[in-house]
Amino acid sequence: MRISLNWLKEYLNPPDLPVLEQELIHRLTMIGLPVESTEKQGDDVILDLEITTNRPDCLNHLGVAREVAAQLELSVQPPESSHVVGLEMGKVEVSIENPEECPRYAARLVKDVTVAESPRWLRQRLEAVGQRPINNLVDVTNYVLLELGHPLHAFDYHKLQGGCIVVRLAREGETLQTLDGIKRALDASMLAICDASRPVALAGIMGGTESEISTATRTVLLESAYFKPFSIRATAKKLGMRTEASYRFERGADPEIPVKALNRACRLIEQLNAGKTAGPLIDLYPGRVERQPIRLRRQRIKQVIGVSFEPAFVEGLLTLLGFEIVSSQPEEWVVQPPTFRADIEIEDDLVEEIVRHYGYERIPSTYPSPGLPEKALNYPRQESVLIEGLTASGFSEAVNYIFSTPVQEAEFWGESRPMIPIANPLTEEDSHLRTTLMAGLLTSLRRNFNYGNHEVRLFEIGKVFIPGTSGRLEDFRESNRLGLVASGVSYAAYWSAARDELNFLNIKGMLESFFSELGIEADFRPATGFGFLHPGVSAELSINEQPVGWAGELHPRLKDSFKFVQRVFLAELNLDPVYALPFPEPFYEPLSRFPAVERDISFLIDKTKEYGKLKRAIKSVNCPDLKDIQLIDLYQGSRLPEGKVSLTIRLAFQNPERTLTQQEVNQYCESVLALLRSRFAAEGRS
Amino acid sequence: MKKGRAFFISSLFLPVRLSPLKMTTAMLENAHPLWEQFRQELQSVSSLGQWTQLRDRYLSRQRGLITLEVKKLGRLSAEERPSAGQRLNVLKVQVEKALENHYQLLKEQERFRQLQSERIDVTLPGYYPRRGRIHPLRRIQREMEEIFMRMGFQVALGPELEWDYYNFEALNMPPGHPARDTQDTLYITENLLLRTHTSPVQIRTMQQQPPPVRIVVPGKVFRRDAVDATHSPMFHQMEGLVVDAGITFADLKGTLEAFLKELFSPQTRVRFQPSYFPFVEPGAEVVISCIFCSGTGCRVCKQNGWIEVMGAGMVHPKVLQKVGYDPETYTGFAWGMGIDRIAMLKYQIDDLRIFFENDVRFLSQF
Repeated sequence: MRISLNWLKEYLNPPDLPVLEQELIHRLTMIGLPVESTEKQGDDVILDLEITTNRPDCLNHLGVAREVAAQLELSVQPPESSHVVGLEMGKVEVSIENPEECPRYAARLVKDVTVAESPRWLRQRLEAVGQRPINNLVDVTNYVLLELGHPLHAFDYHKLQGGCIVVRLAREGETLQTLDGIKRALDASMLAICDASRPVALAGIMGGTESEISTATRTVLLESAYFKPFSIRATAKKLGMRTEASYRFERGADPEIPVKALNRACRLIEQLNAGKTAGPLIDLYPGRVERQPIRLRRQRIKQVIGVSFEPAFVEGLLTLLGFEIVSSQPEEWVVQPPTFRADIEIEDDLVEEIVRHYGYERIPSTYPSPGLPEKALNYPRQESVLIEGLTASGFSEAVNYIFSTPVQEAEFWGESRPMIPIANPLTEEDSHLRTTLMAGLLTSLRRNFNYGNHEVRLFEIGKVFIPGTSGRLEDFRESNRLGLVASGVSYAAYWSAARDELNFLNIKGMLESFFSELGIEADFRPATGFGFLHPGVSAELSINEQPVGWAGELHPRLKDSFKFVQRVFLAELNLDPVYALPFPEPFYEPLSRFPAVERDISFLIDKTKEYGKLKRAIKSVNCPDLKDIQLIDLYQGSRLPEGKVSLTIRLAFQNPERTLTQQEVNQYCESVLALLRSRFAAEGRS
Repeated sequence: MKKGRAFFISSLFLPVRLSPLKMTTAMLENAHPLWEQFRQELQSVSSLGQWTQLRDRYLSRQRGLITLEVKKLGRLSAEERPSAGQRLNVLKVQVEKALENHYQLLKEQERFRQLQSERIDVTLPGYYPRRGRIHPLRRIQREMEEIFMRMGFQVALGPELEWDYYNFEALNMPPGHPARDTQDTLYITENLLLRTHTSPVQIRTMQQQPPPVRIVVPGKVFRRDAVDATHSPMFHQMEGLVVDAGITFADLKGTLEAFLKELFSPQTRVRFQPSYFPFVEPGAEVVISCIFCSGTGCRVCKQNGWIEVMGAGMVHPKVLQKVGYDPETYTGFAWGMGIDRIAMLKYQIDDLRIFFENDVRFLSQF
């Protein structure tokens, strides 16, 4: 809101400010009217005030003057707005069909109108605060708007069919060309100002072109009404319109000001010799609401603010701000807020008025005594353990938008999957909510490649949004996910080491180590259902037989379509089941004084056999002294029979109470080998 | 210190010169003729191999020159035998001693050569472990969480897809409230939306527990905003809430001042200006003295010396009522701040978009 300091001073008594301009700016900021910028214009200064949505009363010069007066302890001098006696009679019929939306409608005729340019002082005033002058009549309505804050509208009376005004909801099918030249289709939720047959204005938002003031206008109907915020807001939103008038009505105008504003406008018109006020003043007020006064306790101010206030200060300040002290007792008051303060509803609103003008700066800073909650809130401690592992393994954290598109995700999944659509997306790229972190991560990866970064390991921890199976959007599920993408060499930082390209086992090992930190053993099993993964390099992960995600190499088909030249590995895990597990607490296990015995066993086996199954089988052998199973060599080559691989597995045996004998260990190894022979057709090798 | 280091260097790294054995005059007069011969030969021994050969030449049990001399003693007369024997004994001890000394010298020489050969260029690049970094937004979020946790706060989390009730209505923003306009919302259905602030978690937490409450709520929030250097349809907020009997606006000031001084610097000045948020009353805008120019005016603070960092206020009685807290008994304060904005200020980032590009060159800076 642009405020001219010279204009503002007109309403102050005395009109000279007792403080410097700089101090005034500071004071305005400190009472909640922050000055965004100032601009010198001749001997005037224009302040651009930021007005919060609860203070429509400050969207005009008189309102700001009231605040300044209260802060500087001056008095306010409102402009002359007493009744103007009409010279001629004129007949206007006004009726309100929807008093719920329009509780009050005042109007008056102005005859013998001479539409012309406004005098210099008026034009300058308007221009100073950024309002373009149009003609004397329109300028007067704008002047009153910027002075008192109340939107008026001027109709060319002779364009109103039947010479009457009907305030009613529009009918389906009715249209109106508004002053911005757009022809608008109205519906039955929109309040319209109509003449005998059709809408001539959108109530509280904008007039229509047909009844617009022109140089040919001889008689004007001035409208000064009070419209309910919800009605104006809904219509303006529906039509995508926002005007000076709608902005104020939406936030709450003063229902007691319409007649004053009308009188003020008539006085100005006569002062400018632009026309003659005529006929009786029409004031229909079917929707008057009595506002209840509010009880204010001195103790409540202390309870909320932590400071005690002198009764004299409280009363004095509220009075300066236009509040009426209905009754006053030593410890409490009954206060009637002014009609222009629709935002004042409860006792604490009054508390704010007092402390706002007292100054937040003057309130001491204390520290609340610690009230300890009954129980600790749930917090996924696993998350930071995972992040520690990820960063230690070279992964940096990415943050992507949660938005995606069906096209983008279908490219990844290889099929279209149900997604949750946003009803009012801003762009096509933001039309849906992601169901996987991969679309974002692969985009980030591509961006890195484009920037020339070829060593990329990224992870993201974030939510995906899974639609319910019922088809109802409300049945969605939010799920915490960990996603990672990696491409490059496995030991990039070691400049003298061999530069092996990352492979699946690097990624798998990292994942295993993260899980191990959480006390989780995850199973990796060959997977087939993931179309976006290389069919030979893809694994499904499960914890306690519950699937939690997948890992693998990006399918060459996708690699090509993304134009990647490097191999890309990716994984996504559902963290919900991970977070649901108890946080692992380590337990001390006594250290055996008896040394572990290690034995390596080598054998040939069909290539098609899975090591994972083999290891599980060895584990299941009934041997409590078997402590560890490690693969230490895997050889496949021309020296072996076709279709065979040679494995060497190191078995470690240990007993907590005694040294194991050679014989026992031999027996254990024999039983393991026997099992491998019978279940996996392994051939022993020495 | 200097002396010690000089000693260290000379003892380990300087080649040790072979010096002739020092002989007393008495020893020389009485010396066995083999002694002079041995000394000559010892002087030319420069490797451990030669040293072994020399030792065997003189001391070998079968054919050592000294061994042979000892064997000859038997042929001497009884009178000559003791003095000749003693002379040989002296010779043997002297040779052994000289060999031992020489061995030490050779060992040191060898170690010196070995150390020389193992020398590397310590200015070569180290094998730097390849660590990843957490996102700057998580970094700043953790820093903020930690400050609050030291002040007795707990971290609370909540859903990103939220119901209108929690996002607006329970926060004193009924349908049609003009403040809804300032938070342009992305809707899924009429009642389901992407939360526009982390404040709904206030409501969820209060519904689940009786006072006292002391929480901070970090998380993603969403607005229907086009992307530019300072706007994004997705950003991050940290909300805070304290509710108990006896909580005042003065406590709000004290708590947030302590936090901001800890986060930025003890010299930071904190100012509270009246402002409006529907879920608090009284409401405040919290500004700090510009961390770049300390308040003298610069580009970041748009020349006014102050930077807005958060909105705050006393929890609106209607909000307390909605969750079943009696506003006559309990009061509270709440605040909200943009994590992205704080990160931009602290790390001097001038474009919000870079947070979501995930360029590893950017990420590796944090």
